[in-house]
Amino acid sequence: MNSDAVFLKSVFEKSIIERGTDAMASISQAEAVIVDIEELTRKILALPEYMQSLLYAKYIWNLESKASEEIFSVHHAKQKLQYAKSLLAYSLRLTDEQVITDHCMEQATQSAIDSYMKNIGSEVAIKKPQYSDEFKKQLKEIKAAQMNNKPLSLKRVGIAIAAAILSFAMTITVNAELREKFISWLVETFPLFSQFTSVGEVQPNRSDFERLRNMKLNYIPKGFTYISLFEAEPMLVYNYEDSSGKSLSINASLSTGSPILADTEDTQVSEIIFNGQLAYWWEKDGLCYFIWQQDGFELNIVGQISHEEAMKIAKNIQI
Amino acid sequence: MNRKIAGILLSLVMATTMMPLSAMAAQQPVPNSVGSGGIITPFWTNTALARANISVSGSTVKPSAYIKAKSSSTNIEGTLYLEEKSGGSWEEISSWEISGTGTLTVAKSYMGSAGTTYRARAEVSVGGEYVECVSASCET
Repeated sequence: MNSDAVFLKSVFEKSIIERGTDAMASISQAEAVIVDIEELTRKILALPEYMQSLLYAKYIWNLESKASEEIFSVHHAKQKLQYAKSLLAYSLRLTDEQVITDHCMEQATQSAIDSYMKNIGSEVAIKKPQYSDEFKKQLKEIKAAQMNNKPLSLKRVGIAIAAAILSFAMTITVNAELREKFISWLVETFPLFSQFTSVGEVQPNRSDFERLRNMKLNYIPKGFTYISLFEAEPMLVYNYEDSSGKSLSINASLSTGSPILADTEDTQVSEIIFNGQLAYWWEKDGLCYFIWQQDGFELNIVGQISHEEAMKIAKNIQI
Repeated sequence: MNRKIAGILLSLVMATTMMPLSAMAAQQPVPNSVGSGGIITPFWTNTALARANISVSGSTVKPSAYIKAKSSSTNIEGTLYLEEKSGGSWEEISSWEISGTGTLTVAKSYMGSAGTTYRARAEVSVGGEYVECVSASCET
């Protein structure tokens, strides 16, 4: 198996193991539900073979997960079995708080294996032809001649395009910097506020925070004076105030994935491209909000200033 | 044989392009909750922005919070919690009373255990209005 397929297989396997572990954590609170046996049997037969084997081992032969791992050479049998059960529950339109009863699982797995056993022996065995060396040599020559004359087929074009897409997808998956251009903020809007979470893969380190500490605010609107600076890894907050009591706060943080909750009730949030990244701004109750990313750092401005002033502050921040 | 290769390639393409999306989806918290399993605030009249954060340096865990009220004279008071992940759920292991006026910024320090997952959670009253925010989790 080549390295790309090994990588993908390990990612899927890890995802199944993690999801199986999560499902196991909530099983004690779940409600056991009776389902249609015929439908469940069909779903079981649609599962990958190794998952079927784990289900048969559990519900027909009463084997523990450890034994299943040894017999079927499967790692993390317990998590994979739980994942299979969650998959079946989901396919039968059960909720996250419901599981299929053990009795239904026993009946359906028995029915599934009966159906499977009926089909054994019905395949027609095809014998691999045995060619002589002379014939193989002639075949090689014919094939070589055909390769040179074969016109470019649609199938080959499709394969080339698929290979190009695959390369791009692999590049964007492993290249954090490149992906940063395409995956920026995960914004969830609830009725009364919005939650902004950066989803880039930047892993902050100590030198990043040192860099943040040395950031320069080269523009502050006229009339605002410096009040205080809060500095505690992973974030800084600069506070300013003018003579009439209007406030302005600038928050800069390492990208940790901690969400920002901001008041967006009954407000239109505008999306813009700022410094090549997706950014958000809106005005509400006399405040201007601006959220953006810069060189992998998360920044936001909240202040009793205009949108134009907020943009000017942001453009003049040097990190 | 070519058809088989094309089929395998297309499957790999689809699988790989879904990977960043599933990573994004995995980060989505449960709808109608704050952070991971928090409480929806009933209203945001006084609060402009709220954020809990956390960082780790060796075994030292530093939870922090930044709460900004809409008015510089609004009282903000509440509790900053440090929680540890235990058996699939979060358990409070330390807490600190916090307060401020207009803007609240606070950071604390805690000596954690290696190989443990932590998160910060802040529950505050902003001029009488309840706000809760939860940080991302981090591991020592």
